[in-house]
This record gives sequence, structure tokens and C-alpha cells, in this order.
Amino acid sequence: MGALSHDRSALVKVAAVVGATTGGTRAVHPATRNVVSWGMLSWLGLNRSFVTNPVTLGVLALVMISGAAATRTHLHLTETCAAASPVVVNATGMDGYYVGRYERIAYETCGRNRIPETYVNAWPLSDCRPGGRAMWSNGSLAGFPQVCRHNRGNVSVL
Amino acid sequence: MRVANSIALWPPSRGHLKAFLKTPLAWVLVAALVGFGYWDTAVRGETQIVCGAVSVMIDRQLFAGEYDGVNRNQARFMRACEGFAQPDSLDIRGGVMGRAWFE
Repeated sequence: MGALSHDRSALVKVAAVVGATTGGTRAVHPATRNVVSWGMLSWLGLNRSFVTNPVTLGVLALVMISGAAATRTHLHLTETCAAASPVVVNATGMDGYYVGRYERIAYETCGRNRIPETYVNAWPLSDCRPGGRAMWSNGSLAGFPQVCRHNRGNVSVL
Repeated sequence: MRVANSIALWPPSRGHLKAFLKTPLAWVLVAALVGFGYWDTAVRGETQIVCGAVSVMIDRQLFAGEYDGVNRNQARFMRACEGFAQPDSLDIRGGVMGRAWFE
């Protein structure tokens, strides 16, 4: 008997939530209909006149377009970082390679979450602070030299 | 029919705009619009920085004589950075433009 009444009270709670969110179930006690009510939605402005307002439809379309564009740009940056990773990391195996400050800029801008797992710990980094040395992104020291601005001056291409 | 009539009312009257701006949900939509615009601009800026930094790195190594032609990875990178910064010394169609190009 106790278990039966427990099940019944659980059912009433579920019905209250469903009724409150849909606004449909009238048999539920009013005290339990307090999760989301049509009154609250109406206060927020979600009513028939708001939905059929052409300004609303236009702004909603703009929000969807800008959201899609931002998501696409975000995915494009992820792809760019993934494409740049082998270019940066594979260059370290070449004779005469030296690391500059641009590798660190790219690494910090991409962030570890956008760099593929294969390359995230093998990214060459410079440490241009006094006494700093070239290193890998996993923290270990690297064998190649680093070229900082104080080594070459402001003209740093060659 | 009512919906169709409302949609046909374009451009919206001043009354529609006022009614829209009076609701809290409208400001949520406006905030979402501004937020998405800011996010898009910020991420585009980051893409520009990544493309520029790696492009300069490629140029430096290429001018030092380390690269030989455009490999698949560089081609993929250059395609991803189309519209952003590109290496001066590589041409995705013609291969290396660096030392052999201007000397």
C-alpha cells in the first residue's frame, strides 16, 4: 500500500511538470503548476502577437544567420589550426631549423584544444625571456636554436 | 491566414517595432544577435593571427632555404587560410616563389 501511494505521488509530480511546461493538464493542483507557466512566457513576450510580428521574424532570421556564420567561423579556425599543425611541427625536422616567436603566437592563439592530439605536445616554442631556450610544447627543451628579436633586430626575415 | 497577413506587412510599421521592443524576449534576441556578431569577429581575428603567424614562419624558413616546393600539408594550410594571411613565398598553383622567384 505504501509503495502504491509512493508511485502515485511520483505520477502526480510528473503530470505537474508536464502540465506546467505544456500548459495542458488542468487536473493538476494549481500549487504544483509553478515550473514554467504561460503567464511567465507571456510576461517574457512570447505570445501570438510577438510571434506573428514581422520585426520578430526578421530579427529571428538574423539571429539564426549570424549564429550559423559564427559557428562556421569557429569550425574554420579549428580546421585552420589542424592544417597549420603539420606545417609547423614537421618543419622542426629539417636541417637548419630555428624557432621564432611566431610559432608561439600560433600555438597560443589556437590553444591546446584546437591543435590535434598528434601535434599538441610536439609544437616548437621559443622562450624569448632572458635566459630562455627553445622548447617543445610538452615543456622539454628542444635541440634547435631560437631566434628572438634581440638576436636579429626588428628586421627578422633573414 | 493571420500569420500570412502579418508577414505581408513589410516593411514593418513603427507600431510593430515598438511592440517588439517592449518585450523582454526581444532584447534577448538583440543580445544574441550582438553576441554572435562579436563571437564571429573575434574568431575571425584569431584565424587571421594564426594564418599570419604560420605564414611568416613559412616565409622565414623558406628564405633560409629549408623548404622545397609546396607539399600537401602546406597546400591544405593555404586553402584553409584563403581570404586571410598567406605566405609571400609560396604559390599554391606554381609552387615555390621565394628564392627562385625573385633572385
